[in-house]
Amino acid sequence: MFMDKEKLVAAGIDYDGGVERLMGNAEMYENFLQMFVKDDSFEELEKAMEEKDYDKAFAAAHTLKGVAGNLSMTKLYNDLVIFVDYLRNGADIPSAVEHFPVLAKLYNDTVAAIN
Amino acid sequence: MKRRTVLITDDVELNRAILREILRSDYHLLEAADGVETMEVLNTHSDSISAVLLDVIMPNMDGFEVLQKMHEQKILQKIPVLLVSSDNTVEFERKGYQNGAFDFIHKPFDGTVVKARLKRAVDMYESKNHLEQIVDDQTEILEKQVRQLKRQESIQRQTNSNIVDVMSSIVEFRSLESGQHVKRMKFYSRVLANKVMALAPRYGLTPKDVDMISEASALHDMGKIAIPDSVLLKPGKLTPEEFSVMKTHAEKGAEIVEELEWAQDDATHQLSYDICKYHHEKYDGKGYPEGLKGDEIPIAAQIVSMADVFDALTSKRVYKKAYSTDQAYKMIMNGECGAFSDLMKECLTECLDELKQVKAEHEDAK
Repeated sequence: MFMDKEKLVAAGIDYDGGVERLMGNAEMYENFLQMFVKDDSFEELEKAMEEKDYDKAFAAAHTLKGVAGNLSMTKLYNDLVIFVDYLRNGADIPSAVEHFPVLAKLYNDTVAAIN
Repeated sequence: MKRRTVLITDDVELNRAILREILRSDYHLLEAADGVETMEVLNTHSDSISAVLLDVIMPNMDGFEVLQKMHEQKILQKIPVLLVSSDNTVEFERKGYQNGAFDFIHKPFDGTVVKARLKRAVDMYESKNHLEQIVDDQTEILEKQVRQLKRQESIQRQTNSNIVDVMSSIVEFRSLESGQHVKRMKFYSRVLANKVMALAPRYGLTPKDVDMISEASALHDMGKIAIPDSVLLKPGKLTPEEFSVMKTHAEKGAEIVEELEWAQDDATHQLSYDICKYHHEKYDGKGYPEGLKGDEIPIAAQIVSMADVFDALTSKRVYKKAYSTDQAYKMIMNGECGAFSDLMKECLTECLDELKQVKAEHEDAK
């Protein structure tokens, strides 16, 4: 184990669950956490929100949600579920816009815990 | 055990990576990042891919479209597709199955579960495809055998015909029956048999039966070969004792046919036997050798019997002159030559012209 498990758990990452999902391979799991950091889905989302391109934002958020789910990043995943639903078919853009900063902070905390 | 190949598709590199890691120890893997690439890989590796893990939401061509294309190209029946999606709505899952997906795996997924479901899909399709191959192979074998049987049947028919020809040649030679008599018998029998088939379906005659009756009619007097010359070739009328000896040709003929059982198929064999043995039976039971009555007499024998009587009457013999066809007709209808069924008499009436035609075309040499 190369990472600080407690730090990860504190940031809302279900470490044990994630490892179990990958058939108990902790090394594999940590490798993927690092890959997550390098993934640019969040940058895409940020850009889309700035440009008010909400369809693009939806796609990026949806992708991010999928990845977060696969890696048992529970807190981030749950938040993304709500966020994605705001954006789905333009259901509730105002709420999405309002909520975005919260999401952004969560993301950054998650990344910090990994690094 | 050879490793199967599985195709993983997802537009997100990280997702493909996760699946790759989970599966790499069990499968050989191919990857695609969207629907278009998926179809390309499928087309180049169509024979070696055992399953597809298909993401649904992808740019350029989504998972549903891939399913449709696979269906069009008839690959879907050979390769199971497991849809993988983070859309967990029922509508989505329903659409997946409606488009022919084998299984639907929700994201986020569990590695153990994915492996198990994938294995199940791969094993099942391997078994299914293997069975289909076996069925195809068996069908091919069966078709070959059917062709062979048809060939043998054709050979058998030819053999039947040859045997009859040989036997009737012997008969003619021995008892001085003319070749024309045998020909006429065959034609008369055919004409009468066809009429029986048309008028009386209850006897269940088929065109094939008509052929066989016509062929076998040539053998009706085969038993005469067992009759001594003193009786067979006597130029005058036979004494009662001589006549008894002559009558045995019916049974003797049947005995000879029995010996030929090995050479003929069952149906022809039965007909030959019946015709030989019973062509002198009469409808009122006054015939020989057994005195059968009515429809106890096989219909084939009734037909040949009438043909034989008609020909005997209309031909010159050492002990009598030939009657005209009209005279012969009257005599038969009056019962002067033994009893026939109403049906046979009706057939004779309706076929008379045709029979006259045959007679005209196959006269004995003067």
